[in-house]
Amino acid sequence: MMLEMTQKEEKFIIPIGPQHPALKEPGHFEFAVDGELVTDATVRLGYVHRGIEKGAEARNWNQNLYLVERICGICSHIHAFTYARGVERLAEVEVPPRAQAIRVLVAELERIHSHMLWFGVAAHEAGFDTLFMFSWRDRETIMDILEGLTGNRVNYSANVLGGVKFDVTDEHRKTILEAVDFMEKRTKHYLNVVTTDAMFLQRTRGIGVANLQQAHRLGILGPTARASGVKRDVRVDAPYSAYKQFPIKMVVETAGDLEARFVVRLKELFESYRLIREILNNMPEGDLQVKRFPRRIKPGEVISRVEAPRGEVFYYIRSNGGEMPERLKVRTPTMMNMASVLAMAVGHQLADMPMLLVGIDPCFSCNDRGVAICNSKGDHDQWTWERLRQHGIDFYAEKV
Amino acid sequence: MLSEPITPVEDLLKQAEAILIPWIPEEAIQGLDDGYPLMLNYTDRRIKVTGTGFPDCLDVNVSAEELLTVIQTLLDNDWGYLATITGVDLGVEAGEIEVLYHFCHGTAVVTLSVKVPRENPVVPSICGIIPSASFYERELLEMFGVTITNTPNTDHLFLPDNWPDNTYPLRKDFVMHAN
Amino acid sequence: MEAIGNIVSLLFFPGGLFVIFAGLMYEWLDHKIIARSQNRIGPRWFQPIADAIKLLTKEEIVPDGVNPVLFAILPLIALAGALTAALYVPMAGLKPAYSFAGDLIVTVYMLSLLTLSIGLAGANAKERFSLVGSTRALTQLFAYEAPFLLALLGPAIAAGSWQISEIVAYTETHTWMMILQPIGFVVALIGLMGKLELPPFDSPEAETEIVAGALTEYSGRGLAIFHLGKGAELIIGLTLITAFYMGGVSNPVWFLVKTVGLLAVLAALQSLMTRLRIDQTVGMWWRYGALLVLLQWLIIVVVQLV
Repeated sequence: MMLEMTQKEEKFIIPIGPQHPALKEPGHFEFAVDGELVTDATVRLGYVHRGIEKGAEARNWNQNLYLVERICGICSHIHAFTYARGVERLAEVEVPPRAQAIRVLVAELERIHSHMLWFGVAAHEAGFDTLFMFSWRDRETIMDILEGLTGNRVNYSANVLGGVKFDVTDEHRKTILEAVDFMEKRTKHYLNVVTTDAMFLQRTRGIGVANLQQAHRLGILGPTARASGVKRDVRVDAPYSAYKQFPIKMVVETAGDLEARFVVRLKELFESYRLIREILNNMPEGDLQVKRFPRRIKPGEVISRVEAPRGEVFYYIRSNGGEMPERLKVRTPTMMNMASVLAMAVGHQLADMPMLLVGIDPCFSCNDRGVAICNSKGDHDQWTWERLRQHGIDFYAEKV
Repeated sequence: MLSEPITPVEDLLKQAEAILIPWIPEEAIQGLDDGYPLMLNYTDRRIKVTGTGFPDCLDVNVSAEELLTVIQTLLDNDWGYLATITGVDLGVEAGEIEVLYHFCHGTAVVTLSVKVPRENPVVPSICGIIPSASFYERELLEMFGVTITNTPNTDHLFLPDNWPDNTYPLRKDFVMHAN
Repeated sequence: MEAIGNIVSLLFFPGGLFVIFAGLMYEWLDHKIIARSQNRIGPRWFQPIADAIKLLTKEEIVPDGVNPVLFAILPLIALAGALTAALYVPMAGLKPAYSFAGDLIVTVYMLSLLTLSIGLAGANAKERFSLVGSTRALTQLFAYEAPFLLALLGPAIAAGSWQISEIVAYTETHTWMMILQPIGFVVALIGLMGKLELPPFDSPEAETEIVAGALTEYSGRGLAIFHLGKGAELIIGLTLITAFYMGGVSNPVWFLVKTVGLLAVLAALQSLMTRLRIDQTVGMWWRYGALLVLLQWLIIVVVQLV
């Protein structure tokens, strides 16, 4: 304890972020280091806080579907999925089975591209750029499929309240199956690389270990938790939507280190490939949307939980009987996992920090959610982009 | 590996009820059949019904003083994990802020609801029991202005450092001045 | 007449402009090979030249709290060291411009001036990334320097001279040293990667941790000069290793073929490997690198005695 105290007095702090080559999104971490060893870590979030929870209270049920989709650029479908599912439960609307299957199909495709994205970024943080380039190249096949299906590479807008927007045709089916075969081959290769490449293992094996107790105590979620042996996956624990007809197997590892996080995510991809094939081969027939979805929703509350690529997404929606929600609470997995990084960081090398950070697959946009701009005079109001731009111009004009 | 069979939601909720029985008002239990239908017949609590027609949620009203005991009991019985803490401003007229502690276990969700006066909202920190709740409590603090006694960290998490004091964006009377 | 010769050799060939230009070309080739092996297109041939010109024309920002003299002079020392070293090596397969007994040691230490300058430049700045970067650069210097030097001395012992021109004359007439002394060759090659801070030994400038390491605060001219110094070091290092281990460099064509071949090997190694942490780098060098090279020495001595 005494040792800690003295170290704190003269700590040498390495800031990572808000703008840093290791972070693809803004977040601010401060690591106190003793030589190369990290002795303390703090985080400051909110750089991409957009006030979405507040904004949702001023938009109607339908508009919010498109608002929540913009919480995250990577798992946009998951947010819209969770929201739509919650609102549909609240409105007691049954979504046609075909629509549910399509939702899950897109969700699994999204999981593949999200995991591949993470895989590339993680390889880059480890200084293994070749793996980064290859995995992102392969990820493009999934992006192309999503574009072909929905018309967009991100923010697919696949959902409407009470169904989905588009159908999966035979032609789509063929291209998706081909792409999945290709991806499966590649994923096998990558799994082989991360488990056998000696140089890479030096950077992952035994690094950032969170054992089962720690994982429970820190409340880690998603693949990060499953790498520590926590059997927690909403798709399995509380099957929703088409996961009831198309069950999924949980992938659990017990080592709890970075290597296990790689392995869990890559093995999850095989489950996704299997599920996609199964859905495509047994696609239920029927409508894509319900005939009518109410504009107003009767008073009540609902909790909607969905397994996003990064872990459990938790929505709490409350309606007061009006056209807009009374409260929309979004809890994303990164929030919990971020706290775990701070706990795991202590005692590791500075060089391991980017890998540790990336190991949880952080998504700052998801986490921050929440445009209110505030100036130092203390009055706050919302600025338009134009005003902000003008402010910047004036500020520097004065300075010169 | 093969996943284990899913515990039916009814069983999970029964367990939760058995754990929480001291905090369920007596009049709610009287005149009921034993076990599960308890929730369905209990009108004071809000029962959420899914699209397929089964309840998966149990809501219990708890006072701020009892909160820690209830959570400790839940954890001692190994029931679920804290999913998040939600704040809901019930409006200026109602004069209350509702703080919801969501616990998930498999399919079931238990929500502990604490209502505190809007003028002086105070809840105890649960970080002593669940250390990972710190982020949620900081969010609750800065978004709703709920004072959390004994919470380890009260710094801003999402809002800027120069955010004005006593301005809580998720309260209903917070107005954004759009140009 | 001799004065003109000296000036030419200092400014144009084999020192000065030739080394700088050739360094940039080799750097381009390195980038291109890595890019192709990573399924990318890679830069066009004039990209490093364009970068250097752009940086040289840009404003140099001297940050607060640094010693401005040191800040300005360190890049020059680094480049000067590298260019001086170029005078003692058989550049482009021709005879070294200058030569004296023991110039091998001088050359190797001239090359180290670059790393030393980078380390000092980082320590000179107040920036935290620079400080960590400079600590790592200097730590790494202590790790690879001794094994690298010992590896280069292997052929020197075989040739019985510590003068580069004599060693080259010896290696040209004998079997390739990389066959006779394979361990020394491997250590020298990996040592060169460490010297140039190429992956996997790029932790002193690991951008995902410490941005640009010791040179984080450098911009414009200073950065460009450091960059040119690195390019020069690349070509000198390649020349030394080809001359010592790959049967010498008797004419420009052979020089080109052999150095480019060696560069391709370097590039392939770079694109195959993950960055090592600084503790792993040091551990690897002293645990394996130094021991291996001593083993090589032992073998040489035993063979010569027999």
